Amino acid sequence: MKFKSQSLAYPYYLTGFVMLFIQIIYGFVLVVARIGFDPFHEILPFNIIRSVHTTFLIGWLTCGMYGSIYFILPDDLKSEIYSHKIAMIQLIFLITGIVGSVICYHFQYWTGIKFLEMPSPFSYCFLGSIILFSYNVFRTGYQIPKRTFFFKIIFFVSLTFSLIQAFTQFTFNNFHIENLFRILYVHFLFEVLWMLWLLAVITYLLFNITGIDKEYSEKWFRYLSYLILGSGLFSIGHHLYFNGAPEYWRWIGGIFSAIQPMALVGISLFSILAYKKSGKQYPNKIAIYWTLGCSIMSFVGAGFLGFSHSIPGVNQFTHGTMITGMHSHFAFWGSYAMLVFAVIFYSMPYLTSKKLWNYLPGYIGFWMSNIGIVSMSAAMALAGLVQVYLEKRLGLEFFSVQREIRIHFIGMLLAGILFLAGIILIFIHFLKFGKPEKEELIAEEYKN
Amino acid sequence: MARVLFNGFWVILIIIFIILFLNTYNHYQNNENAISREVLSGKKIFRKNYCQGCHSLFGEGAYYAPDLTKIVTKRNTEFIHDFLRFPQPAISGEIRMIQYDFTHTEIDDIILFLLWSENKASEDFPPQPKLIINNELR
Repeated sequence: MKFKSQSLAYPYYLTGFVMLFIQIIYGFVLVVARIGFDPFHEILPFNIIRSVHTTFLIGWLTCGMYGSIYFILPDDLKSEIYSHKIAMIQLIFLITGIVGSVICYHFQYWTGIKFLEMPSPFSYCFLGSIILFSYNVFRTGYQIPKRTFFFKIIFFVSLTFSLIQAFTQFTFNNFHIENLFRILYVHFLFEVLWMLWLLAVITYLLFNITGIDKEYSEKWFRYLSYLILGSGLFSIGHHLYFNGAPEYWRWIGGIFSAIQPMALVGISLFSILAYKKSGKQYPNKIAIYWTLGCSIMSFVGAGFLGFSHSIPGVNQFTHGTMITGMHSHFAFWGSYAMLVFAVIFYSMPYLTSKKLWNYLPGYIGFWMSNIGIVSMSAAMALAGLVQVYLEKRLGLEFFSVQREIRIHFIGMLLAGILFLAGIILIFIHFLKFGKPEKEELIAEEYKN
Repeated sequence: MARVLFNGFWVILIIIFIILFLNTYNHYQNNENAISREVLSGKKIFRKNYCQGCHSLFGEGAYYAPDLTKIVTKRNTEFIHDFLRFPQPAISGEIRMIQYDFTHTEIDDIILFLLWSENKASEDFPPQPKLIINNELR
């Protein structure tokens, strides 16, 4: 590695993996409950398991975000991270926030708001970790004379993340207003801020993997950032169709939801063009797999599948069904989980100086996890379609429909087993690299 | 010049968004007068027990249990009251809601809260099911 600070990424990767495994285990309990086998229902009801599942999702992806930035930022700014101590305190805050919240859920101590379940003390810990991260990023950037566009975007992401997280502490007597702010938070975080993080990291990876012109990649980066911001801001309308918001949101949401996937088409196009354009033979093929895979799967999962049910006329029937569940699983995997793995497998050879890019279990893990998640999403899509037709179109009772779609959850369980096996292989690949080396190493051989 | 236009475009865009958001906020606030102490208590119980962790309201939440949009109108008060006192599976042998041991007052508050939420419910959600007449959906 070129900078000692880059090794800060490692503890974040490791924590992220642990959280991912717990998330998956709770995911299995959820799917088994949907099949009808739910012996712990009285003591561990669905809402507890689901809260743990989504909180660990946010936890491990945030770990991935911090880790990826701590690896990339020193290289981008040609400077060490301002404070290693802050970075480690930030990790402790993050773990305390996530793990503390999850323990509380088991005693039904939560806010009861979807995606914002963390009870106040632990939500503050989580907020603390984001503020510390923003501060560290800010100080790192301002210790050098010239800031890059990458830095500006990441600072914007981290600062806005901390601001919106701070606002989650406010509650309102009016349920609708509380819900409006919840939607603003969730939409802005997942569909704008993390999208910008995705774009920034993908651009960095493509620039280094393909060796394309800096100006060329920066041009794509700039235009796509503006597209994500503009379309992302107004496409919040697709969350406001049926909860009593003014009618104009249907027009705004419909139009901007159609524009929103264009940013993801742009990212896919940029990746493919950059890869085609490059004359460079980058040896770390597994990093290329994850990077190109991420740019394409994010378009399919977040872009195409999101758009396909965001039109008001369609959303009227799919809203609140398993179609939404299918979209969110595919989108989170394609956009953010694959991005974290792309950074991990790009950075690990630099951090450890081990050229483990031809490690077979890693490739098998890539295919198994991807086939697993696509199959899981397909099972949910089938369940969702049946639910839409039987319940929303024909008016069958909810529970009668649930019995009809149970078979698809068995399919989802099987796909989940394949997915888990893939993740285990990916983790083995990660562990095989070992810990980052302490001595400074500039890997000349990677540059050709 | 191009830079000024570009920045201006973004400022206008953000201002439009803020205006729309504030208008939506006001639109919801028009409902505020109707929030009685009972409705507020019902909302607190709804949050405390994280009902949206299994159910959805306006299609938002989890999809493990039925959507609660306009549920009071659909089912009537007595049914919901009895159901919350003694949750029974809708289909024999199927999963049922856990026993929360709510008091009568708490159940009344929950019902009042759900009724209050219907004030802002869209007419077309949940969608009206179609009937099959002569082999066609109508």
